[in-house]
Amino acid sequence: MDIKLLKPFIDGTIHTFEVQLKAQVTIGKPYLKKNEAGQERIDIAGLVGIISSKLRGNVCICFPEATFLTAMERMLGEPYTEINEEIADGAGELMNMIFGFAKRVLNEEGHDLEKALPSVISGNNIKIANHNSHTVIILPFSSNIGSFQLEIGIDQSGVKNV
Amino acid sequence: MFDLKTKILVVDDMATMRKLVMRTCKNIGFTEFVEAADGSLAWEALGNNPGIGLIISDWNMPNCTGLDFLKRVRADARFKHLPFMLVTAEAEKGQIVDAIKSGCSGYVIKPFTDESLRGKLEEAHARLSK
Repeated sequence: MDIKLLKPFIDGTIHTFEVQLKAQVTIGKPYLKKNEAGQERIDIAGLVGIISSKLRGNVCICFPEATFLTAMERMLGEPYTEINEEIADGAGELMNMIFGFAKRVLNEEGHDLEKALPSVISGNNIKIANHNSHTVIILPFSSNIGSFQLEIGIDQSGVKNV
Repeated sequence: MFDLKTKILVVDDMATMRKLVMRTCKNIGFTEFVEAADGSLAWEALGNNPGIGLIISDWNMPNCTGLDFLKRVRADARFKHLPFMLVTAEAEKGQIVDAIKSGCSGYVIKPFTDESLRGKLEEAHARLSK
């Protein structure tokens, strides 16, 4: 995966958290996702597909419950004690904002990423399975509302191989 | 600024986003809202709720997008001049131009703050009042 593809997602995450959640975010050291062992806890994730003439993949924002609840409190102005139907799609909306930012930047650079609707997965300490063969990179973030991560898997070898 | 008694139709497939838009509008001073989860439901809501004076809609939704809903609204003589704001993560210039050509009254890019939404509403109202 071309590492340049990651920057718009990192910038989009920092921008989205600053503007929508008034949260200060710091990127940690990216690493390859090799197996489920040692991963950060994930209780909810917002996922969106990456589709263009040259790229196929997905990007996922993954939260432990505590970080997500604080994020929703910042976003909606009310305290929450559990992840429920009322707030679960907030993970998808944050992913949507980050993806919208990254899509604009990448398309201005000559890509042709399509629009995509986000989806949400939630559960107690879930694992995100990546069935595609492409490399998945974890971008760990820390912030004043807690830690979270982006998982990005993009195949650049052409649509026939995906 | 729009009259704070204006009834606002808030359209977004994400419940949290509808809540965020309504919260922001409440902070500005608006009090009356109707919600819809996509453009088709919004069209029904528009017909069933007389007195809606402002639409704030997402773009990227299943079934009927915000842009398709906007075009449908503008094609109907009853709603031709109804203020219609798009609040969306779609931030590319071509998309903004498409929205304006289709009759969008204002365009707000997510993420947004109370201040930025208020500013866009004031801009749209000033433009429509000329």
